[in-house]
Amino acid sequence: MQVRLLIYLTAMLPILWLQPLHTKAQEMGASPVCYTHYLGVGSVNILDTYLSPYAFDGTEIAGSTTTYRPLRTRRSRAKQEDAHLSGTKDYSRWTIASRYGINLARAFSPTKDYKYYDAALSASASIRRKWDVSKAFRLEVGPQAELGLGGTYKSSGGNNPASARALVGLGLSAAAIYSLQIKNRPYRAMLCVDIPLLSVQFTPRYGESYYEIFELEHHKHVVRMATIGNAPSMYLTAGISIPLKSASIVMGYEADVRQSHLSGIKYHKWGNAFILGWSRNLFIQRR
Amino acid sequence: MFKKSYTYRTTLNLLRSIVPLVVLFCNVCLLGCITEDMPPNTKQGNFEALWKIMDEHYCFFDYKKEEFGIDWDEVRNRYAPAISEGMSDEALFEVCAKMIGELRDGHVNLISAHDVARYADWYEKYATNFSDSLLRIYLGSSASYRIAASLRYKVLDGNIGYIRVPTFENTIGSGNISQVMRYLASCDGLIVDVRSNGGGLMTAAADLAGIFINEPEVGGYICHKTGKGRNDFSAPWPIDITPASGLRWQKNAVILTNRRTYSAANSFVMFCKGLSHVVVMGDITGGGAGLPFTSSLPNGWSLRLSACPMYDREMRLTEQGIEPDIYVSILAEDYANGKDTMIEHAKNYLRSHSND
Repeated sequence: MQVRLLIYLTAMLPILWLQPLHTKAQEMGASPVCYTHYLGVGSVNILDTYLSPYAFDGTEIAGSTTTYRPLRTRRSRAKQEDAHLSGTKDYSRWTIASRYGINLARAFSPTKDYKYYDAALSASASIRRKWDVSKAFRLEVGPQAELGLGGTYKSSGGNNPASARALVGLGLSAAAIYSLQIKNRPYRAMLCVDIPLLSVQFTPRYGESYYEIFELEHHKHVVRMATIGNAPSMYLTAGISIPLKSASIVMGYEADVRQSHLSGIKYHKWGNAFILGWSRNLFIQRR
Repeated sequence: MFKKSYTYRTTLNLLRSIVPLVVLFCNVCLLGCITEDMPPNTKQGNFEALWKIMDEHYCFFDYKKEEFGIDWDEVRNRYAPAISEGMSDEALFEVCAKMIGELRDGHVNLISAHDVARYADWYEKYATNFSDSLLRIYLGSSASYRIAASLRYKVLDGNIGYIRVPTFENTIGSGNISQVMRYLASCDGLIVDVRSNGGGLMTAAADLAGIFINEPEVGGYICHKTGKGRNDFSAPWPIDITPASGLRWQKNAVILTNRRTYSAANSFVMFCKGLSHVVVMGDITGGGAGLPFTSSLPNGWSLRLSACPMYDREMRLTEQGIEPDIYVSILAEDYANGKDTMIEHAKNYLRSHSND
């Protein structure tokens, strides 16, 4: 049952990502798409009781690419056409945001005797309803689908030298965006929060070896249902974009809080990073 | 009027969406951080951490209680008074080593920068029944035997194939096994010598056992802990042995064992014992039927412990070793004459049973 759900949710993700392209193909006029790329460096604290009962501290490097675009519905297109606008003003009530991220970390045991090497890949897509609270301030809230892969390797070996993770889930995504013009140049401050609500995750059982899971193919119980109760996690970015010629510089803060308590194994990865990147708006003309 | 109504509706919609989000955000914060409470890095804390990790992960408490009357709670109470904050690290290590030594398990080790606590009675109290010097006589110079992965092999006098397996620490490829089988195919019998093999990869042991079977077989069973309770175990899961992909050994074979045949090598013997054309010869194996996991103490000492118990086909635990079908030891007079009694006995057995 859970494996089937995992497959369904996995199948949903490409549909979500493809949807904006499909919408674009139907519409007339320009569709602004904001691409943001950034790198981050910061601290990380990792606990994985499958590997060690102690949390390891270290450094993390994060890289991320996000795209942000309005979702053009029939209503928003009609409104735009009625207003005889060129397409630069956005009448859509929904936005689509997607994010691809990679995180690499190295952390040390409290006594610096052992190391963790951690890697994580993530991809998410969300459709958010937006409210223009004022001319400058906008709020967005909507559902999100997420896919994550990762693992932690411990330098001390044994039959539990590493811990793998995989998840497919649904959650909520929210953003608060404040735009302002200074000397006729657009500045923007943005706060985004993603909170996974329900997911299916891969995890070994409490004392199960990977030899048993992969060599002996004992897969029963390795896919678990996670909720906000047993896996309270959050991904937060706060940043400002400063215009610079045709692009903008983005700088800010990223908090990546991943936690779970599944099959008796406790896991947390608390990452805090300073991020720096650039952002570009592209107007894609389609007929 | 319209404007007011629109603003009202927008605000209401906004609140409808924002309030659950705020509640969720608070939930994440309130449900809080997932952490593990562990004792601090003090002498007492390290002692408690060692006892706790063993208590929650070690897999043979019931068995050790039955066999040796070990009560892990009583063990803690007995050793705890010996801990004081003023003691040296070496003294703490000594107390901890003695405590885990009570379990009489070769897979339980405490590893510090200055020493490794280990239990060695499982082989030190017995004759080794293996000699490097004698092995050199049988294998000859380096040029007179072949090496494939970790296997050393040659044809002994009397047309008996001999494979020396000193370790299972490295993988043995199907190509290696196939080449070895092809080279020894014309022999009248086969000796697989796993004496003093301290183990390694279970997959390597299972791959080598695959030369003796023509159909997939259950070689044994494995369990794992499902929680912190001492009796929280999964149902046994079969360890399937797959036949080797190339040539397989169809004639009689002897597996030579001694007290230092341990861990994955013990499992190899477990997989092969009971097969119709395979005889286990030598001494009882060392055991080590718990797949070891590692953990660590607050002061950085590493801890290894048996975590996943393994059973033979009849669901018997092989932690204390596997009895051979035929007991043979190296005799002093044979040793003096440069003869390995066990290899000679195996050769004689295979010659006398070559027509079976």
